[in-house]
Amino acid sequence: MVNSIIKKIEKFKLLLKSLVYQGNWNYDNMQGTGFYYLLDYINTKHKIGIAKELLRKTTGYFNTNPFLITFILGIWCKEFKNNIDPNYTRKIYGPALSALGDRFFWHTLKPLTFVLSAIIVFYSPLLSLIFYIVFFNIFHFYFLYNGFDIGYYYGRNAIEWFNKIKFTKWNTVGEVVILFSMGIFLSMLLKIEVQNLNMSILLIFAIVFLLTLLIVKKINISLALLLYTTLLLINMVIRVY
Amino acid sequence: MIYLFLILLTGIISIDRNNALNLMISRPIVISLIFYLFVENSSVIILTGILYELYGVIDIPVGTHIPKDDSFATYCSSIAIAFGSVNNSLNFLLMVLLSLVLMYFATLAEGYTRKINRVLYNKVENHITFKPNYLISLGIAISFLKGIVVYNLGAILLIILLNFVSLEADYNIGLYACILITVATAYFIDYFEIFGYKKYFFLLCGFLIGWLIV
Repeated sequence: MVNSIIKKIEKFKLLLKSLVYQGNWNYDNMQGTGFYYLLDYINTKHKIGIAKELLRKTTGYFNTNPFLITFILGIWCKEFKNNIDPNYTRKIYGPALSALGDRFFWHTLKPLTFVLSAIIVFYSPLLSLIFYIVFFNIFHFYFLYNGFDIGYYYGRNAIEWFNKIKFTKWNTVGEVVILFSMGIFLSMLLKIEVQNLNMSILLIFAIVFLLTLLIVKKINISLALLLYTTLLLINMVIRVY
Repeated sequence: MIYLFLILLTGIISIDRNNALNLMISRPIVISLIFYLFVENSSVIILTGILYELYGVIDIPVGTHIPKDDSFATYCSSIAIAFGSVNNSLNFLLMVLLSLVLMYFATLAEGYTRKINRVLYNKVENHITFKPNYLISLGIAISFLKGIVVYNLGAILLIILLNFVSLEADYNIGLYACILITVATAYFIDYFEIFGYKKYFFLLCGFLIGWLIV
């Protein structure tokens, strides 16, 4: 259990601010403006005593996963209190948490939420919509809300916390669930949406799937979809006229 | 009222996707479900949302890479379906083809908003009174406006093009949507590289169980 150094209401305000910190995302300093914006807020509210010059330096290049930004803020403040160059730690932790966060939020959680809500949609579209928003954002808000405290408590050893909760294992479990659920979704989709489904039609779908697997590494998805759509269109035009 | 809702929705989608929130309102399946529940009760909208979700979910926003604007394609397609421009399989395939092409320009527009953000940042970078709030608010406002303009222009253009090509064909959209979803699924499955060939085993198990459930 990590004790909080800031009040709950302040943590909530930090969460809200972290939702907009990427507003000035650009090719020069990427999230640098946003990092300064959040750090300036913490410095003003909690009188951490960061000098203006040092604060201004944080507008420089910075990029991380947006769902883990509050962790970096906590780590930064802890390192500052310990008289260690906090910007050096930021340089290390920005990409490190970016890799961790991208892998979990973009690579696992997003597809997982999609596949599960795609299954639910066959039963209730409203429930599916609620599920998607709630399920994803439970993780989103949990990490943003508690990130500052955890980062501040562990400092440069924050990675220990991720090891403690077996964060990388979540991806492995998540991917098994995704693949399995995708199978369920596909069979439901074909049974519900394809009229007069029989073994011949099923075989055609299997061939399309296997043929696409052969070209997956050769051409990208945009080209593949354009190709298939064009072929289907040509076939239909020939058939109709 | 519905037009105002749609205009606001496009602005929020653009912000959620690129600049702030990250609440996943901009995901294709979410957009299609919003359309299904509040605009037009058509299952084709949901199928389109699923197709574009599969298309976009494997495109991760890492570093400076701008993911293809699948939200744009879903919004334009949903509008076209809701406004009755997609009434047969041929129109459906044409809609997918055109929205994939138009999506390229929408993604390009996002690149320009990031360039505008850079210009704004460079202008005040060395000022003594550097105000991040100002830059962030301006960035969000630009994204909001970009969403309204680009998404709705795209939707209007798509409807005009679809209405221009009015051809007769059968109404078997479900079948064609399923073929395209199968194509996108192959890419989706290939995206998970951790298990090697075991992933096909998990997929097959799920498929067989799903077959028995339904």
